[in-house]
Amino acid sequence: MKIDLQNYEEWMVTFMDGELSQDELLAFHEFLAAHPDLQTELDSYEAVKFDDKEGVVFENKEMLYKKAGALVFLKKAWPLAAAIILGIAIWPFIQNKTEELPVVTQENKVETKKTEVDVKEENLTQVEKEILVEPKQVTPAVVMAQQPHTKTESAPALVSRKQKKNVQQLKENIKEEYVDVPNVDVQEREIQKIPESKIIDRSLKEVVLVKEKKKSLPEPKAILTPNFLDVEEEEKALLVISADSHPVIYEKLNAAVNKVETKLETIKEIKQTPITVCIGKRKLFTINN
Amino acid sequence: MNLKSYNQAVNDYSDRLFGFVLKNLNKDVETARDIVQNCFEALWNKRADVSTDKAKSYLFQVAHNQVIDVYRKSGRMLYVEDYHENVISDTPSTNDYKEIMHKVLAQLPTLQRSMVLLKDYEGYSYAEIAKITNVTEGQVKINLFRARKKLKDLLNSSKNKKAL
Repeated sequence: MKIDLQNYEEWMVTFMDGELSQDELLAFHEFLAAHPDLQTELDSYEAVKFDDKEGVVFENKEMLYKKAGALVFLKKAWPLAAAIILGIAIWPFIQNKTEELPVVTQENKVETKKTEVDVKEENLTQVEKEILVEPKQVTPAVVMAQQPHTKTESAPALVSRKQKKNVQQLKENIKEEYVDVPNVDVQEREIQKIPESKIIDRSLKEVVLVKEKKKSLPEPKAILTPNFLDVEEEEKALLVISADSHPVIYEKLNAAVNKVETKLETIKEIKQTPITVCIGKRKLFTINN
Repeated sequence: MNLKSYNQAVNDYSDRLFGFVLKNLNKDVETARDIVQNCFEALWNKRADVSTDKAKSYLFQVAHNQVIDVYRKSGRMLYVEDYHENVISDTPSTNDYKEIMHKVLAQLPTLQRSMVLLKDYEGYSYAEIAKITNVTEGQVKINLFRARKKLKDLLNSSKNKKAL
């Protein structure tokens, strides 16, 4: 843009602000030399320039400064504060954890119960087939039946006298049929000689059932195992429930006992598990039960 | 920007920033102090993004925006058409030239006043003023010209009035 009498004031302001380029500066001085009467106007513009450096002081600089000590404290303090808040937040859950467990266990148990029933049904079918088709595979049943007076490590089972008689009768039949061979284990010989018709007995079926169920559980359970009571124990018993006399109640009791056992084991495991609280990968504290 | 350079910025710029805000607000000391405090708080919060050499510009940019907010909220904005009567009525009562200048300055629109202060007191270039006030360089040039012309006319008017 070329300087002229229409725009010279704008040039004067730009000159005063020191924003003219080298060429513009030369053109401005030439124009001013050609129009000396405009020097007065330039002086008027110079007069309204604020060039005084008056000393205004902000007196509250202390409130603007930042201190390193406070920052370091905050950096160190925030994880601690977070841990405390987290601890307070989760403490009620830790306190109520034991009370809430039965609900979870109950839900899990429903599934377990279903599985046991299914397994039982499957085993029943499978065992029946095995007994009818392949008599040699019923070894567990025979072994159980061969130990009528052996007490289990846990509570003794309640079995009927009729069941006891059935097994004894079976034992006698077996003895009658096998040929005595020296240096051969009695149980093995009995297994080989068990007739199919003798094995298909309701009490034995029950024995097989319980034995099969034991295989599916992590630890064997002796509760309601159809071992046989001594006469004294049987007399002391208030009620004797057998698979023959009360098959439905017997099955339900068996399932209930297993259910309680599993629940107790689960609670025991959870109680023994330590609880560790972490923020990210940083371990804060551990609660040992 | 680290802690040390921030505290150095407090030492270097707090007085100048306070003067800029104070002149813009027509010597409202309390509001000016609050604005300066807000500016440095904003700088501290943005210290990761603002380099040391840009700290001063950032402070004045925040201050300018806050001054505009103050005028907008309080309705203290004066329009160009109003300034003649006010200045002429006030000027005869004082002989102090500096005082006249500040009264004339107070009659300018906020944007023009900020530009004059940034140019004359802080020595910023048109490009830097454009960045601080968030306008184009051409708008800075035009606004500064209008501001200076108004100041000149006002000052001449007051001188003529006084002569009479």
